[in-house]
Amino acid sequence: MTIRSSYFVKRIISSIVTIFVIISFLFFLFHLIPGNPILILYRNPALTQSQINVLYRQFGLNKPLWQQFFIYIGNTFTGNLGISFFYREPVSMVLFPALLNSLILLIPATFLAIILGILTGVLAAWHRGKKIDFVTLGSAMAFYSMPAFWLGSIFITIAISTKALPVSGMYQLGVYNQNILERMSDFLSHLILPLVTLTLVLYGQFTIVMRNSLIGVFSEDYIITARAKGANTRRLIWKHAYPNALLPMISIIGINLGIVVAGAVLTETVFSWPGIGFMVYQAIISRDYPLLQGAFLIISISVVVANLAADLLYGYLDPRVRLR
Amino acid sequence: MGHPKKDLLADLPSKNMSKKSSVYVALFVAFLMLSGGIFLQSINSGVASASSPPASTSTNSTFVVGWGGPNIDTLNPLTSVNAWPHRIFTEVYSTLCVFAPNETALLPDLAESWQIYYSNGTAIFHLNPNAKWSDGIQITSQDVNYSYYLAKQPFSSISPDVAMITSISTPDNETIIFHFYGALFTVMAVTNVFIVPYHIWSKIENVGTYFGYNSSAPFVGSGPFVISSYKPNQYITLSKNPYFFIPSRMPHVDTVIWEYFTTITSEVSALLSGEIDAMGPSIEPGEISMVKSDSNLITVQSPPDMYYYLGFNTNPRGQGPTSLWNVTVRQAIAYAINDSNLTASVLHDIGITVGTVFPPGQPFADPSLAPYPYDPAKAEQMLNNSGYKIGPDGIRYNPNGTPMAFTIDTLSNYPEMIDAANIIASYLRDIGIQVTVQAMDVGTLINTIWPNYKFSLDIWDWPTDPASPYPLSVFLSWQVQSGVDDSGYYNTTYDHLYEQMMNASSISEAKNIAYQLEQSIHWNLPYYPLFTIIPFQAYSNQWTGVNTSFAGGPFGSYDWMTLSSVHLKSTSRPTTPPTNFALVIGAIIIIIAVVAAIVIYVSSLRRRKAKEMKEITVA
Repeated sequence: MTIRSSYFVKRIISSIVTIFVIISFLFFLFHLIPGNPILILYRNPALTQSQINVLYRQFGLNKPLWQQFFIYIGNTFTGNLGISFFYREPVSMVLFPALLNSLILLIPATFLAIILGILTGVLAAWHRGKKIDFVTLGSAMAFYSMPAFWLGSIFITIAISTKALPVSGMYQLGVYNQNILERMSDFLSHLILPLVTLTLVLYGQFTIVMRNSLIGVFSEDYIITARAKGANTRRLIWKHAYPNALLPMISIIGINLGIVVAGAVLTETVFSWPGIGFMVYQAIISRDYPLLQGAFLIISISVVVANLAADLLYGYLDPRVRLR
Repeated sequence: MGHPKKDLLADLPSKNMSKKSSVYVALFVAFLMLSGGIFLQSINSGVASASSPPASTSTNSTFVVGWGGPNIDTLNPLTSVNAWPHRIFTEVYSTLCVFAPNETALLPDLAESWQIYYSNGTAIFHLNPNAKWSDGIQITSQDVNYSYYLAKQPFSSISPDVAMITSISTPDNETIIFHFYGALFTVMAVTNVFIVPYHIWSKIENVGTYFGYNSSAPFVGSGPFVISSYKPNQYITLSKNPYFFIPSRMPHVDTVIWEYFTTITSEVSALLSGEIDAMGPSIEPGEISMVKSDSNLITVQSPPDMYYYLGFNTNPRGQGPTSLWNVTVRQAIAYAINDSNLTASVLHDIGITVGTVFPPGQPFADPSLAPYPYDPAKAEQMLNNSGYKIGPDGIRYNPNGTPMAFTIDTLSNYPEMIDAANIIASYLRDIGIQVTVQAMDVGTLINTIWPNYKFSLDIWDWPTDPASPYPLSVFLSWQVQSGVDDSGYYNTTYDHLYEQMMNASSISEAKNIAYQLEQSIHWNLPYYPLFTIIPFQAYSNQWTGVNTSFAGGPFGSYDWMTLSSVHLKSTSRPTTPPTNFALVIGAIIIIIAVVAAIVIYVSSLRRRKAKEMKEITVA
């Protein structure tokens, strides 16, 4: 086995083990949260104790925890995520549409945040210590520290007073016979505010990482050599400094995926965007264990896979990593 | 000059560039493919479902309502316990009769006429001969019989409503005869059982776990509307039922879309921006002025359908403070609370104080009961006389010498409950009792109470049925372990009295017994009822035909008139804000322009710097 393939295999095995550990940990974590889903869902004077017992059996909560755990692990490996306590439907059927809605918001927001972060990071690093650095870095830190719900609420207030953009949901309900342009326009108009909110709260960290990484690279010998050899600014930044400064960004993007989902919980709630964050919020309130486990399984797999991709990309881009 | 420079730089650490560039290009292409695919899928699926209601061809016939309360738990009327689905059931299913607004007088629904004989416990209902299901099939007494059979099953959340029915017979397709005991048959059994289609539901394998709606099969109901689409966490669409059999209640609108919001704040935002036409269940106090100041909205207030209470842990088998087992202590606490000020401070102009465990106006609410008068001196005297004396440090002590200290547990997602808890804490501190407030989510609160009753006081709420005395069952002894009665109240006298009420031979007798039960609660204080919210709802002034007399309001749980009678004031409707295509395109152009400007600016800076460097190098 070559060094490269052995490196990749090790990384993939470690990711699978990580996912298993995470789902096992999450199972016990969710069951440790105080609160009984039956009493939360059915605080109803009409129910007798025997009816409550029937519900316990229906939800499989009458079994000991260790039995529930093995059933859960077995079902997960066969692709069965269980039945949601709240929605009484298979978890996969509840989760998939919500996940899709989240990705529609998260992917463009993350991508825009990365682009904006790189551009502003480069700008700040190149003008280090000058007014433009102060303004760029200051704005990035300000947006990074802003709670998504607060920024979203400000945008909503502006949108309501100007009647410029819709403030909730993914499309206008009750409007029919739209042509394709009107449909797209309707969807995009609903996307703008949550997208801008999420982009702004995300881009700051990329700016900071890019700027600091570039500043470090600017002091490297090869940059000084390139400068001495007469490389112009464009070549210096984009050909020599930027690619080498980008490596830490790859790690940040991988790690960031989990944070993006967490940030999306607030953004989706403020803008009533029916994504996975919105659903996780509901599931925590109602102690919907199967739905929570399913949602966090997907989030965990996304984070582990993103980190795996970052690792593999890192190894591909920098052979020294594979040799360590 | 340029070529030699390129060669000279070839050995610098940019050698991975071609590799990296290809990775970036691949990532970018993957991103475009993924987001493009998802985007198109979303556009198709989203608009397809939104455009699916059959009869609607324009926005003129669609009424969009918001809901910011608890979500739909199930669309099965036999197992649901939440308020919103209850309202949906009133629109899509029939009951034998319905109540007139906030009264116990019965009006026809599926039954056209009826005779009720309390003396021998017999009721005969004659069904409307024109009654049909939404698939065109005749509604018969078999459907009614089957629905009542299901309602009595162990999985049914409405089984106590039909507990007094002893037998049912169906002499013909249009007649159904009930045998029952007790006068409460009319206020519990007649109006609370939604009739489901036997020809559909009898084929369902397990009705207890059935969700009540299946998108792959047409919904079959008998109300003025049918469910035409449902997206969990998003909306439910109701379309006019062409087979609805009561002409006077035929809806004016073709479609009603009821949209779900996680928070009232986001629902109010949608109302103010014109995305929804109306909202329920109630606007929060902090947002009322904003809604009132919008000239495009009409605000309405209706009779309340819930109450908030201060619960005392009276359970002698629990782990709460023993001082609360003493009724004098509980009464002293009640005397120390200024209810009027509390209600005004917490709910401003949408709250009213309550003296019993029903909101005012509910037919079984005892009108003679009022909150305890605010009398802190009397409260102190009662505590002193019972041995709970103030120490030299100003703190009140239990007879065993420990400080008298309580915690008020309440729900973190209800600001009004937290406000009330803090104000009550300050009242109790005034009489020397140490009080802290703990806000938590519902799961944690439940875990604090059941099964070990590890708390002292809690603030929570109960919804109340607009015409039934059933909420009094909360205080029955067996409810302590069923996760219903947070006060842990054991009182066998109360239990016996409750049984008598269920067996009362007339409504007036049942009312009298209900009053006795309420008085027992008033003096024994497992709960101290605090206040109720007068539902504050709003709708667009383009619409009319909204009824305001039902408990819970036109967009609450119990109204069965408004969605049938609501209609536009004028036929041409400016309606929901048209999506501004130009604005969206403009916004996209601005974003692209800003990004382009940044890129141009950065590259111009680079050129300028390069020029400077070149000059330095030459020099």
